[in-house]
Amino acid sequence: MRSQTWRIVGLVLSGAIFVIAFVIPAVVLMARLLREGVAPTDGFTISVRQWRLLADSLMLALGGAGVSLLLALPGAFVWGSARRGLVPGGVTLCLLLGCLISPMVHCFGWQQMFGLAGAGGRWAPAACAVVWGSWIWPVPAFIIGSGWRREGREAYEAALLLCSPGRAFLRIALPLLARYVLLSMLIVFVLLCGEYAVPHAWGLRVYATELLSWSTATTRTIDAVWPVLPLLGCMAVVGAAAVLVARRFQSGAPGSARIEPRAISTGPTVLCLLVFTVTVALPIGGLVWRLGSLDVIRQAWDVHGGDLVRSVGLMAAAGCAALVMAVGLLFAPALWRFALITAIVFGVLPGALVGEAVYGTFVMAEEFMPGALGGAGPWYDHWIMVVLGMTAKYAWIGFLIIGAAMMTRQREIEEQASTDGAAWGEIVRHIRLARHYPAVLCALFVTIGFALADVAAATQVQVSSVRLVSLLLVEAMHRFEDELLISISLWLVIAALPGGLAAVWTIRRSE
Amino acid sequence: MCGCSHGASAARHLVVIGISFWLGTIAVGLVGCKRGPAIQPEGAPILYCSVDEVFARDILARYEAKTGRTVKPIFDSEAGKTTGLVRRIQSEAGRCGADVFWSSEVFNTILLARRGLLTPYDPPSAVDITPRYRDPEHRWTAFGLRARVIAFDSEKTDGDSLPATWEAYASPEWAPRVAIANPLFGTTRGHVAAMFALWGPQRGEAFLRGLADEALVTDGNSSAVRMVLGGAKEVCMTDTDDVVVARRRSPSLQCVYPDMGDGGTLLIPNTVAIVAGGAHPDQARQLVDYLVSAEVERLLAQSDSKNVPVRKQLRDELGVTLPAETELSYDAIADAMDDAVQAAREILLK
Repeated sequence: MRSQTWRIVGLVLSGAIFVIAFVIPAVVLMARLLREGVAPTDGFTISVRQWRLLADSLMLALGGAGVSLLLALPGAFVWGSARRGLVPGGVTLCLLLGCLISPMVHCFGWQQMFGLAGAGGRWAPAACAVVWGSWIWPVPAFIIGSGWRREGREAYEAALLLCSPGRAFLRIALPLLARYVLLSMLIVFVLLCGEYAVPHAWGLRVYATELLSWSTATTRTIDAVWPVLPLLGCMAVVGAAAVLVARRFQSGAPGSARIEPRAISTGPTVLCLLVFTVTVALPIGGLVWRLGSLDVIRQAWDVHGGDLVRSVGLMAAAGCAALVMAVGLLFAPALWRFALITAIVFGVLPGALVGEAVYGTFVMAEEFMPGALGGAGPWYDHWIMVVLGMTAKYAWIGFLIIGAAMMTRQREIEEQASTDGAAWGEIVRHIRLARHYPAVLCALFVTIGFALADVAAATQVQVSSVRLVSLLLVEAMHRFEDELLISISLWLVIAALPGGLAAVWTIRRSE
Repeated sequence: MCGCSHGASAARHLVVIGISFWLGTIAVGLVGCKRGPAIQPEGAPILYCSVDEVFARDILARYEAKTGRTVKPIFDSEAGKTTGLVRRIQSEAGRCGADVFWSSEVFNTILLARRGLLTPYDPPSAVDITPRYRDPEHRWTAFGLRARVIAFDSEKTDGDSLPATWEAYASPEWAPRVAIANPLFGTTRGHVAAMFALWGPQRGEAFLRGLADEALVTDGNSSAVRMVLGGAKEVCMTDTDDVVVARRRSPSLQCVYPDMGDGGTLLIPNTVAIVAGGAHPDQARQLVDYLVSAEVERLLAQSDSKNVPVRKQLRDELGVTLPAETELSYDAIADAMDDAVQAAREILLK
C-alpha cells in the first residue's frame, strides 16, 4: 500500500475512534448540561465533610505514590541498566505482571494472607497506601528505568571519572532523573485519585467512591459534574505540571536510544526480585494458600468463565482502540497534541463521570436513532458502550507511553530518510513504529490491565451481555464469598501471564 | 548453544501461544458479547436487577430451564446500591430499555411508580400475597423480606446490653460505637425515611444529630458490617442478609431487631415491576409471574440471603418467624423520603 494510503487509513481510523470516544461524549455531556440547567439540584452541594474527604483522598494518593516510588527504584535500575539475558527478561516480566494484575487481586491477596475478617481502623489508610504502592510500582519503575537508560546511566558513569559514586549520583544522575521521577509520580497520583476498589476493600471512603454514589443517585447531569469540579481543580494543577514535565522530557537530550548491554550487579537484581516477591508473588501465594481445592477454581470457571473471557475481550478491544488511536494520529502531528491533551483530560476525570458521558451518548443515540445498531436492542445495551467507556477512560496511558517512546527517536535517521525522499507516513511506519513496537505493546497491556480493574466507569457502562469481572470481584467481596473471590482473582492472574510473556518476547526481539 | 537455541525456540512458541490466546480471547469475547435476537416481541426481556447477583442468577437459571426462555439481566453493583439502575430507568424513560425491574428494596420502586415509569400488572401468582406488599394500583409487587437490624460481634459485645430501640443508638453513650451506611442510598435511606415518617421531622433530625460527628458513615451496609468485624466499631445498622453472609467469615456475628417505636423494626421487601415502554411486554409479564411466585420466595428464604416470605403459608412451611414489624406503610415512608434525605445531607453528612 502506498504511503499516502497508509496515512489516510491511519488517520480515518484513529480519527473516528477519537471522535466517538472523546468528542461526541463531551459534546453530549455539554448539551445535556445546557438542556437540564447548570444549577445543581438542591442538596447536591459540596459540604465541609466532602472537602475534608477530598483532602484525605489526595493525601492517600500521595502516600500510595510515595510507596510506589520506593518500591520502584531497584526495578528501575535493573530494567534501565541492561536488557539482554534471562535476568533482565525476568525483571521485565515481573514488572509487566505487576501492572497487569488487578489491584483488587493484590488487595484481596493481602487480606486473605492475614485472614482479615473486616476493615476499617486506624491502620486502614496506611494499608490502602501500601497496597496501592505495591500494585502500581512497576509503572514508575518503567518510566524511571527509561530515564536511567536514556541519559542517567551514561552521565553517571562519565561523572564517575571525576568524582565519587555518591557525588556523581546526587549531582549528575539525580537531576537528570528528576523529571522522570516527577512524571511517574504524576501519572501514579492521577491513577490513584480515581482508584475505587482498594480503599473500598479497606472500608475507606474516598472521593472516588463518593463521586460514584453521587452520579448514580441523580438523573441530572450537573449533579454528577458538580462534585467533580473541586477534584478537577486539583487535577488541573497536576495536569499542568504534567504537561510542563512532559515538555522538559521532550526537550531533554536525545541520549542514546540503544545502549550497550552490560552485566548488572547482583544486589539491585536481588532487591528487585525481592520487591516482586513481596508485592506480587506473596499476595498471589496468599490467594493460592487459601484456595482449599482446585474444584473451587473450576466451579468458578463454570459459572463465570464466560464473563471472564468476555471481560478480557472487551478490555482488549478497548486497549486496541486506544492504541489504534494513539498510533494513527501520529500521521497527523498537528492533531497529536490536541488528542493527547483530550485523552489526559478524560483520564483525569473520575471514572464515574467518564462512564456517565459515554452512557449519556448512547442514551441520546437511542433517542435520535432508535435501534440503529442492527436493531439488536437499544444502543445503551450494546457491548460497544463498554469498549468506548474504557477507551475514553484509559486511552491516555497509550498516548503517554507511545508519546514518550516517540520522543526518543533518532532524529538523524529520520532526517536521512526524509532527505532520501521518504514520506512522513513511511517514516512513521518504517522507522518510528518499527522501533517502538515494544512500547506500543506495553501500552496495550497496561491499558487492558487498568481497564480490567476499573469499577467506577464499569458501573456506568455495563450491559446485559457481560458481567464485567471487576464488578464480579467487588460483589464477591461484599458477599464474603472468599472462594469465588480467590478463584476469579487467580483466573485474572492466569489471564495476565500470556500477555506478560508476549510483551517480554517482543521487547527482547526488538533489541 | 544448542540448548540456547532450543530454549529460544520454546520461548518463541510459548509466546506465539500467548499471543494467540490473547487474540482468541478478544475474538471470543466480542463474539460472546453478540447479543441475542433483535428487538422483537419474542426476544429476550431485559431485566434490571439490584438483587445480589449470586441469588438472582440461580433463580433466573431456573426460570430459563423451566420456560426455555432467556433473560438478559443487568445487575447493579454494590456501588450503585439500586440507585444506579433506577437512574438508568429514569434516563431511558420513553425508550425501550429494561422490561422488568427487580429491586432489592421498595422505596425506589415506589418512586418510579409515582413518576409513571412502571406499567400496571397484577400477576396471578401473587394473589396469595397480602395487600400490604402489593401496590393498590398494581404497579409493583413485593415479596421476600429483609429486616433492618443491629449487627454485633457476640465475642466482643453482650447482646443483652444492646438498646431495644433504634432511637437509643443515637444517644451519647452509643453513637460513637455505631457504623451506619450512607443514608442517601440503599436500604439505609428508606430506614431513615421511616424514622422521619414515624417520629416526625424533629425527632428524626434529633436522631441524625445524635449520630453526627460520632457514628462512622460507611459507603454501604456491607462495609458497615466489615467495620464491626474489623473492630473499628462495636455495632452497625444493616440488613439481615448482610449479617447472614458475613457469618461465613465470622460466625460470632449476631443481630438484634430494635423497635422503631411502634412495636417492630422496618422490614424491606424485594419488589418486581414492569418498566413502561419495554420491548417485550409478554415476556416481561411471564417473568414477573415467576419472580413473585411462591417458588422464588421459597428459594430466597432458603438461600444465604434468608429472606423472610411474605406468604404466611410459606413461613409456616419453612418454620420461619416474621420479625415484629413497624406498622408504617411503604407509601408513608416514601412520602417522608425527600425530607429525610435532605436532613441527612445537612446534618449527618455536612
